[in-house]
Amino acid sequence: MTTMNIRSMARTIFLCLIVCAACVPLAAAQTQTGTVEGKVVDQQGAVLPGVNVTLTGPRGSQTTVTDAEGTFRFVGVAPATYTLKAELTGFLSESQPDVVVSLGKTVTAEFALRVGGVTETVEVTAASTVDVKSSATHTNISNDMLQLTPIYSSTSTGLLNYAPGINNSSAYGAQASYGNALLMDGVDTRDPQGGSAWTFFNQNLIEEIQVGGLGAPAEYGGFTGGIINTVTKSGGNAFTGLFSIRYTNDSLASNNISESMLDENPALGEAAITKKLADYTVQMGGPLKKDKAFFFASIQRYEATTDPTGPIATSQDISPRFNTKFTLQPSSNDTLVLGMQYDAYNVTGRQGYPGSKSTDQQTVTEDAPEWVWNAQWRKVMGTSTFLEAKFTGYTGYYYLDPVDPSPFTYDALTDEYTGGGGGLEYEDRSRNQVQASLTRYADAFGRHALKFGAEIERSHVGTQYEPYGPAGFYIYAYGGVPYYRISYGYTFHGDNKRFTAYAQDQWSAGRLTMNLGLRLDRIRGYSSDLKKTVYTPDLAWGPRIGVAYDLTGKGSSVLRSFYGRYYEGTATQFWISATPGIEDYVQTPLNPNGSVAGPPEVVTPGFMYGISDDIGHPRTDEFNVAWENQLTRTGRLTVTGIWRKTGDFINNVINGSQWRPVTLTNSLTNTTYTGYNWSNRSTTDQDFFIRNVEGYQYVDTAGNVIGTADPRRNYKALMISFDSAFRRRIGYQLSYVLAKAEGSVDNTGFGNWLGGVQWGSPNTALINSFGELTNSRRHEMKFNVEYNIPKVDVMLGGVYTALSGRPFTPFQRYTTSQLNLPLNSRKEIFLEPRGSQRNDFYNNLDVRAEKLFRVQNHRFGVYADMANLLNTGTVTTRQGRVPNTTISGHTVLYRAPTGVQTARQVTFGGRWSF
Amino acid sequence: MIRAATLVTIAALIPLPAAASDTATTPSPPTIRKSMEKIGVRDVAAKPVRKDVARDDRQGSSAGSSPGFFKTKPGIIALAVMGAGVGYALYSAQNDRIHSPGKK
Repeated sequence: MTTMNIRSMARTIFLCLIVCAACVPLAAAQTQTGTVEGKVVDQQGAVLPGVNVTLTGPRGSQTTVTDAEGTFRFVGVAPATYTLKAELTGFLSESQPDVVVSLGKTVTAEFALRVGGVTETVEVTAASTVDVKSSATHTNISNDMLQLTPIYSSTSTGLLNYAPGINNSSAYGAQASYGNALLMDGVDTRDPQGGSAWTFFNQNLIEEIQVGGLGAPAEYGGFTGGIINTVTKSGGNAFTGLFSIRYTNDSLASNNISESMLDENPALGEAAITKKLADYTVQMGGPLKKDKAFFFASIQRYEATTDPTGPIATSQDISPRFNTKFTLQPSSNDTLVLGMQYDAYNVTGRQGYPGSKSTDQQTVTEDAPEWVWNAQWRKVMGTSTFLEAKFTGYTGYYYLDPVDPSPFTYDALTDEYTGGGGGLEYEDRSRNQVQASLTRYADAFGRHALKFGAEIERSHVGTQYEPYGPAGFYIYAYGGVPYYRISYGYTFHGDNKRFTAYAQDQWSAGRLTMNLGLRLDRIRGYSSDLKKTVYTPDLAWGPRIGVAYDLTGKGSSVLRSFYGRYYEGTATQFWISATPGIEDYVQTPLNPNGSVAGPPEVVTPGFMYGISDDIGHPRTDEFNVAWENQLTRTGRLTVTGIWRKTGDFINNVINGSQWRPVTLTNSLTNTTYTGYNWSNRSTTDQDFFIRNVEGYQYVDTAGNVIGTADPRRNYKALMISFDSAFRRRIGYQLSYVLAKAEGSVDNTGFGNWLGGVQWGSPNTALINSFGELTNSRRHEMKFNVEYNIPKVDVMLGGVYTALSGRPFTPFQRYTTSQLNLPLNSRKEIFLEPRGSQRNDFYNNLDVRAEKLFRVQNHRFGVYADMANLLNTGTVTTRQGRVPNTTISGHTVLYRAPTGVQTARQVTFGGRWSF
Repeated sequence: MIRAATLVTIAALIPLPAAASDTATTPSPPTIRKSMEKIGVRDVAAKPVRKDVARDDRQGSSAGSSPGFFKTKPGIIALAVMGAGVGYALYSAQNDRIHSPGKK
């Protein structure tokens, strides 16, 4: 079949999907609810029709009756803990307490009623915790876990790291941060430029976090790593409240940096410490009208004063944060949710352009407020149809202004910055998403849970980037002698436009369930400056095919298998260099006394990168096999094998460039090897081109192929987890992961992923480029335990983490006379295969001890959190440049420590909840 | 091939909701009677059958669910703490605010 025919067919199917999505009363992406279903039989196993089944939760009760086959179903159930009760005249009533409903999960319950008086009720074992129909593997971080253990983070990416298989925000080997979908009540909270977490939140807001991304159904997209789906608290029929405060200061912090470490790197003496943390939350929820209308309000003031790593003495974040949520149930089948967050985020003492080498004089202030909104309507139609519609989004900005706007001087010999901070950067963002979906249960050759949905996203990025401040330049010097005045800056305005349609079916016949789905993303990047669509990748088709088999027929053990394709979310960073002004770079020569020596030399003139119109959006293929088994009433064991392969990497190459071999010295081994000089730089220095780099060929001056770009990122893992929700004094989540991430495209920041220089030259594309990636943790253990000591009513919570150290690679930076390439990063070549060295094995234990006082339904607690209880001082990063580099004026040799785990610090807290 | 296979799959899925019938969820009285007869239980028609999913008024009560909660001592204290927290956060939102010259 030709490409044209495939595209034509794709268009036809795409139109069909749109028509279907419009015709069927629509269903929702990234669902915020779960399902409870089951069967009622008598003691002989005969089905019982006509049984009243009631599901009672925080916002009232729902009742249905069993059908001719004795089955029942509750759809669109908000995540919470419920009680399920079955009643039929002539039989003893039965109830199942502690039925935990999670996001997107189907809870299966079975009743076997005994003959007896209807006024009597028998309490039976709760429903299974295993979803025997889903093909997805999830980790839930419950409200109990967040409240009872010393976990704290105000960003989604920070919380991700508590889940198995995710470290340094790299989920299942994927690119850190950007590869993850960060959803808060269904709102995509990522920065539409580079995909990192844009909004902050109050951890006390969270009802439940579901960490997924393995075996994700078609309703989930915009990720190649993991999904963090956060549900915030809502009001219910009972008034609830939480008043919480946390405090620490520098006298409660220890030091874990040894003398030998300081000998190797004196700059470690400037490790980050928290000088003061004062954080309080007040929140309440309750009924406005019983069973009909509920409110929830939360206010936090977060203040943290730190002495960050490096010369900066004081940095302060102050963030008053306001959240409200109204839940309305105008009829028995309609739920309307309206939520809003305002966060006034203020920072002083943020690093300026010199980065970690900034002095206090070179810092910037940050003005960064944001509004987040969330409107959802859920409608249950009978017991077989469920409609969700959402309008979500946020708007905000961060404006960085220098404390001292005068120019700074960079000395290339010492790597030091002196003078002012420059650093003016104004960033505006907004994101709007409309989503609608329809879930429909039907019978045809088995039972079907069909879901159709559509989404529209419009996100905007506005940037005014003047990294050298109002003066517009910095001074480049060498050994104290000024050489150049360098100017750089740009403005950018762009929009991401996405339309998504998906269809999925959970098709059950007997014990077997097929999870079939297809997702289609149409992504476009629009430049407001050029007034044209710049980024036009192919339609992104994401099939999802999963199988789940109920091994016992009792809903307690399931074997799963899944294949799926996921695509990255939208980001202007993919195509920003194909807009005007990004590359402009002006260099003016200076006399040794600092005066201007002549007219500006335009080193890189104003030009735009070219961009391919036949480009594939980056994607990951996943295959996994999992076995999930209920071992105790609330405990389940999950074993998952994961294989992932990423492709369609987007980056830039230099069209028409030719490369001449040059002999370079490897200072690590004192041997020579072949590098490459850019032989036709003068004629091709404006021919940068954005494309899928797979297959790009690097050629020498005679046109012979030196090598071919082979960008790869593969991940394989065996993940074992055993977890139980907190019940009867104990809760736990224990996991072990054996994993390896390897390839030639690193999985750290988005620079390696969306931009950067790696594929511009054969030096960085071909030499030692394949190996183990930075976020490849061979062994990972995470133990999270909560335990209530009886009689004394003291709550103990602990989080223990043990990880293989991160790999790193020795590199050497060559001079311009050795390699005629612009930018230092283009002249840095790996001296050994990627990931040949590894940092130390990492151990960390955080503990919380909380004394509880209970008065009726009021719970008072005072606690102490001890981060890094054992005060271990594991080296987390080492200096990779050979033979050395300069940090804060100190010469630091290759392999010297540059990062150490955070030292022990005690934080005190108190709270009252009811 | 993968694309073609998935297209076929999705094309096959699309008509399913139309072709499939609703799961029968509202039992008819004869069905109930039949069941009752089968297991030999009396008083078949004593309990009315609800026709659809519906929330009823039953709700587990707790001390905090009373409409007069805010007139109780804990309720008053909760309101006072809430008021103080909101007040200081609003004060902070005004006084700790950094205003960038770029927004003036």
